[in-house]
Amino acid sequence: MYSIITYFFDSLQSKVQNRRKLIIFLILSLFTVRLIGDFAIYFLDISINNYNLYWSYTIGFSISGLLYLLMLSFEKPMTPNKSYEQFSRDLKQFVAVVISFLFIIFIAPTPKFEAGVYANSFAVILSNVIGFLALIIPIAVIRFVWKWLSIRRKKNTLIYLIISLILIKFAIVFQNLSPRNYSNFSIIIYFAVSLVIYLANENNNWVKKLEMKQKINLFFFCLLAIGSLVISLIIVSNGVFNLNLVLESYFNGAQVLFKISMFIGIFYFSKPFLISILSWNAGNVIEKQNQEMKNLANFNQLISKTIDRNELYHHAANLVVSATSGDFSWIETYSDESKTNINASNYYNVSNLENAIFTQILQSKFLANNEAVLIETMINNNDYDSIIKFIPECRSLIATPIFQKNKRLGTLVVVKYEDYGFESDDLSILNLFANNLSIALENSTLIESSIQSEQFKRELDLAREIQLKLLPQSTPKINNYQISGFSIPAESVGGDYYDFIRLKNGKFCILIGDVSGKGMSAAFYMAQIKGIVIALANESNTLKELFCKINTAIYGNTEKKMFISFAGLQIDEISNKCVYVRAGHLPLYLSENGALHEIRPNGIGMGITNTSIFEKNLEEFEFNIIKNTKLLLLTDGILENRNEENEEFGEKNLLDLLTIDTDNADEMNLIVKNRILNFNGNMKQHDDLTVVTLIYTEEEN
Amino acid sequence: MEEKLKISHRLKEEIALVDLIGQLDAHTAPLLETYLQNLISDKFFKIIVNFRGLDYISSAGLGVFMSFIEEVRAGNGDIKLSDMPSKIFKIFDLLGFPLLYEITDKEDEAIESFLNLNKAKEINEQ
Repeated sequence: MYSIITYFFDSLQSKVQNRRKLIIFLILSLFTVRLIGDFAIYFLDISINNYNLYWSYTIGFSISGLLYLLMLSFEKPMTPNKSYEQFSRDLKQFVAVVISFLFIIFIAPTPKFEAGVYANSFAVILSNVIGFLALIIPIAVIRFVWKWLSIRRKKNTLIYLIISLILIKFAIVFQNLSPRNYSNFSIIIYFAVSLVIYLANENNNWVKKLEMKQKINLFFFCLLAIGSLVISLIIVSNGVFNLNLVLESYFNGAQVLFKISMFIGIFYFSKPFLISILSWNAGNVIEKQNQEMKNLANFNQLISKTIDRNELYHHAANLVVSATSGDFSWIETYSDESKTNINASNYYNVSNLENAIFTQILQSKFLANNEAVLIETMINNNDYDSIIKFIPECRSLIATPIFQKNKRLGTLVVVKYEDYGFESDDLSILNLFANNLSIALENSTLIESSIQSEQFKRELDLAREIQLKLLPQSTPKINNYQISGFSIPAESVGGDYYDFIRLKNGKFCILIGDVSGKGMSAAFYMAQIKGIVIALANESNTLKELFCKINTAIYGNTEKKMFISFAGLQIDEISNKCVYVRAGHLPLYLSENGALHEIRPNGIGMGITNTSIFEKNLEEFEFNIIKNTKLLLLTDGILENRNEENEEFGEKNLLDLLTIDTDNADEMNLIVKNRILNFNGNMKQHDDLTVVTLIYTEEEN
Repeated sequence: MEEKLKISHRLKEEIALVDLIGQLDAHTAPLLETYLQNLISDKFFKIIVNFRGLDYISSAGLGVFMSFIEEVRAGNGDIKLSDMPSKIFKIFDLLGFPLLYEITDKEDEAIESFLNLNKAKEINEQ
């Protein structure tokens, strides 16, 4: 006993198959118990009415409940959006169950009854078996109706179901209380329940939307269901095969349950049955619209995935054929040299198609105006002889223009092998397709260009990286000095330059330069300057000599409008002597004991004039430096840097930078950078920003 | 989009007086370049650029004048710059342009200087 209970509880929690096994086991046990009990009643002739009643009632209802559970265990889980397929599957199963039952009833021997009780022991077995099988039918009806009413539930469905359950209960109880008046009253209750179910089954628009084939299917199986239920009802009502007695002896009220569920089933299935006939005509139109919607949806789905133009043309050509029930289609496009290309076609003989298209007759027709062309027949029109020569099957066609950004791009053509093969709305369908194709082509262009700009951006990033490597990667350690610098281009790359070099005589110099213009062209010159500086620094003993050589290298060898402002500060690791040379660049700014100075020797920008004039005007400014002097070398981007109020950073803010209280060049450089960028705020950086900070840390000798 | 640079010119004998209004930067420099190129193609080698209406000039803008200076000088002409707002003059000055270009306070001075040149030539020829 204990093991049975354990098994029971285990199986409740375990898989569906185990649960099903348990249910079947319970049903069979109850069935056996019932059979034994019935035999006992039969042989012992216990005719106590109430005892009989409770006995059959308990077992009968338990078996009914278990059958319901068993049916549940066979149901597959619902998947959304497929409800027609599932409904139709359930309906077919249901019809199969009812018809098999009828078949069994017809071939099985009839159990004999005498005055309402089993006539012989064979009848006991037979009646139990048939009663059990008969019970499956109402349970199946109830399950089906309940399931599908709740799946297609509306606001009042639940109320309807509750009302009908109450009515069913009432019908059964009423029969038990007053069997004699029953048959007069029963029919009213049956109709009441059926009416409630009929009303509850109100969500039937799905039937109207079905395709023709599906409607026929539904109509046929509803008819079968209704027919078999009507036959079952007639059998029970008229007591054919003693089925009324079988049910009644199975349990009190089984007959009512059976009849009432037959009514419910008949009324329930009559609704989809009627609607499928009544919406018959709408079927074609709706079916076609459905097909169009499906095609368009398919096409739109493809659009979102397809970038390749040829693939798009290919999909479009195939889909228009199915959308218009055409025989084949092609898409031609026109290049700027008024050349026609076939981009996609599904005609079996491509070279014949090409010949037909290139006869120019079609071309001139398609291109005559930018509207769709419908050729309904080619009979009695010599114009089309040349086409029929190559495409003998061609009878009618529609050609729809394809545009991209208002420019005529090509034509989408569908052909039918019958005269007057197209319907009026095929034109609008094709226009819709052509419009969507235009959008798709536009998308593909956008995606392509965004891919290109993405590539371009990547190359710019690469250029930026390379350019950043042209700038000093670290600051050199120079006795008595601290140096720090930064450069931020306004765009990906820029034309600012700074460097640390040693001249031929070993003197250390800081260079800063600004190539005219900005962006890529400036960046190329900046890279060139870097190369020239590296090559010439070792050849020069002074900054002036180096500058003149650079000017010689670039003047006349670059674009005329290109020039570079350049400056160099030579410092001495032993003495405190400095030299500033300025070729059109900003002055050197310095603070010495709190006093601010600007050193601005003469000098023309590089690349502006020939080297002799350049050299004559290039002044070398020598000065001595004292401890804690701070120096700033910068490019004009700093001065012209604008804030959100469009004010320039200007010289005042610049001179303030020199008053930053620190003796560490890196720290000062960082503060300078932050101040400049903070000033900038959310404004787009206008020009490249470059600063080199220098602090002299040694007492003068 | 609003034009950032308006260019026009007046003629005084064989001198083209070019007026700039707006901003001369990397974006507008090509406009001026084309404009000057057309003048030179029409054999105007004596050009005075009046900066009175110019608010801003960038390095790309400065470069424009360098493009044509040799050509006009070869044609016995010149590009002279006048009426510069002080801010713009500072930029030219920093780069050493005053050493290479004639930059006058007033347009008339530049015209005078072209006319004097003509006279000097005439005297020479005599």
